[in-house]
Amino acid sequence: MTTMIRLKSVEKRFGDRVVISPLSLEVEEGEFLTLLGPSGCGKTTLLRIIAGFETPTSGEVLLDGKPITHLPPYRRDMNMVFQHYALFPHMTVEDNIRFGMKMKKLPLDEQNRRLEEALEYTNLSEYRRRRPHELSGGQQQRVAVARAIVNKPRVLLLDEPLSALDYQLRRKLQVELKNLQRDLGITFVYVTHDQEEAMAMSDRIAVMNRGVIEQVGTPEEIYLRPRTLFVAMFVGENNLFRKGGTTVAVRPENIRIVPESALAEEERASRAAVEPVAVGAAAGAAAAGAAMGGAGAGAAAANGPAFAAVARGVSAVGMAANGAAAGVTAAGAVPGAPAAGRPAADGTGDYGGAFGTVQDIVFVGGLRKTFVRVDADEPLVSGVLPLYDDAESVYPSGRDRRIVISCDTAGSRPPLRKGERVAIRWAPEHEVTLSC
Amino acid sequence: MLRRGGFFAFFPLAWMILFFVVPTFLVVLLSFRERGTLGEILPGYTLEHYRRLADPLYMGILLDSLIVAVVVTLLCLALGYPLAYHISRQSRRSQRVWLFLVILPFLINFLIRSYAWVILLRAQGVVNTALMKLGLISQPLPLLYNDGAVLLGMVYGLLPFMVLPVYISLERLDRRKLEAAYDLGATPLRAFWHVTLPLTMPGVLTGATLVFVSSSGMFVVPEVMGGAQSALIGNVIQNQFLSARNWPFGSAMSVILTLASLAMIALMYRAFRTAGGKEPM
Repeated sequence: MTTMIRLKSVEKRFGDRVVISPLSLEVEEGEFLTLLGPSGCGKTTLLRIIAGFETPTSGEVLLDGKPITHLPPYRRDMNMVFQHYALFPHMTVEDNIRFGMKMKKLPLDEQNRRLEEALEYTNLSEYRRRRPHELSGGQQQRVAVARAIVNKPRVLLLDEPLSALDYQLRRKLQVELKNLQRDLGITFVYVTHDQEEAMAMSDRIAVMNRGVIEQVGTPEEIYLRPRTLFVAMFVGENNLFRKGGTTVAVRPENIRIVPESALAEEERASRAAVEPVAVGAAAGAAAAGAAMGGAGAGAAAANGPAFAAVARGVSAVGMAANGAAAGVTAAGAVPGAPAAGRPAADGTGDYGGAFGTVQDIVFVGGLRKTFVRVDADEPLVSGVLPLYDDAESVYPSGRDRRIVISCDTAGSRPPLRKGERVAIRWAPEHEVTLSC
Repeated sequence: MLRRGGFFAFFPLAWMILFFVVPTFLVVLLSFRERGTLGEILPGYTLEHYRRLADPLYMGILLDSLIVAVVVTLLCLALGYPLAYHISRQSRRSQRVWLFLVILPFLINFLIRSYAWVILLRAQGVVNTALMKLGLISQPLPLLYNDGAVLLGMVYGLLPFMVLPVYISLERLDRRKLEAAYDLGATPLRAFWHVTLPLTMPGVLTGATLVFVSSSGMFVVPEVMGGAQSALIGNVIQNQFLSARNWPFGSAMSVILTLASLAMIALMYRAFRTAGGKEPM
């Protein structure tokens, strides 16, 4: 596989404003790479630099090994699908598609052959004599694609090509575009702010924020192993927790919600499994555990005697699990990977233990999302993980940082009620440590 | 539409009826009336004035006037489009300055500006005096009182009517359409020819119509700068109303001029439409 596009420390400044900090990126031949990020993150500017509409302040752009940094757009062997299509309103569909070939002075019979091919491929044959304003949004989008691919470019650049369409159509065209890319084998560089779209279509995603590429990886890597706080919060939903000096993220589907009523029983079962490991971990942990347990019990006492008893039980188990995890980490195991000596993955080695109240339950398709408001004075019984509350800015606006989201398959667990008292749990291997 | 906008449409509509439809109707009516020997309007109706117009003398003047109007329109386009294009490429701030400069001459009466040209161009005028002092010429150049002077005066006076509409259409032009053209391999020149020009055709048509109509009936410039031999239809009409006191004949000439202008404009639109295509936006 060869590198089709190479960006070498490309930087873009408009006056004093840095739009893109020096960054490097490689796009492989035949790859579908998405630049994903919120508006103003520099993704469109980067695409425009590749297309030749902007010149980088410094750095180099190479197409198939050849520098094209200062080549005007009309000399670059790539084409773009513009955000609002930018079709020529005074030309018919046919003339729009023919435009690029006409500019390159292709022989007429070759033009006609490719035109028919493109019309057929995009199902536009019956609209060939129409003007763009006589077409629906989806049809216009297809004309924009046909107009670009008919030139057989090395690279196709797409700037939010589906953003103007409604949800249903967008989903349909996502599949069409992906198939097109697979059929033609053209390298795609796709810009979007829609993480769902990026996930569904891309071979690799470059997540951008404030002119910086935060992480490049396959959709799976981006989702399962986000490296930075931004990626963790921008792609999918996440819960953030503070663990010592670092921040960890736990996906909603890995958060377990246990009703208080079911707790006692569960703890009994787990204690047997955990205790031997905890004992083997470290003597120091036991001392710390005693201190934490004391704090937990003190706070829980405010909730009434019955609850205090349960809370104390939880804290003991939580600490035991923590001791086990600490032992494993010290032994040099990879965090996040299942390790020997770790409690069985039946939930018995769960972290967490913060208590809260079910605030809302929402069904999304076959999934059940549970929003739990963690108690304001919750000291987080296990002692490991206070809720992340430093960088309010990373939470999507309107989201309360004392809300923990849990997600599971609807009907897989006994239904919870709004207002029900619950404990929050997760397995240590589902924690992803982030850098900020 | 009239129903909903009725209230707001009433005054402009009343204005148009009172000062445009009624006078036009009166002119048409007048052109069929008989004229008394002293210039009074007689009660009878006649086609005499139109028969008189068929005279080659008048038809020649009408034709000359239309040719002048076409030439003026083309010159205004040739000068105005590049100017408008240049202005549209400036920063917001300097665009305002440029537009102000384009409109600036309107602050001074057109008649006075025409006489200013006379002062510049006449035999003892600024230009000739300067050239003679510099020793470049020994005899004053005949800069005034010819067709060239008439064209100069008209183009000078009517240029803003071309620049402004073209500027507006250039401003409204979606730059992304140009980028799309570049992206598809069009050099700047070809992008201009295939995208910018067709998409700004509405502005060109508006400007051309304004310039053409204004120049076809113009009598100030030929009167002041053209001298006796270059009478255009506007001057003849003016004479019929003011000196000859033949209002019916002047009216008939006005009617014919209006119809001829309308026909020319229709032809122009037809020509542009087939060439550029309509713009939906």
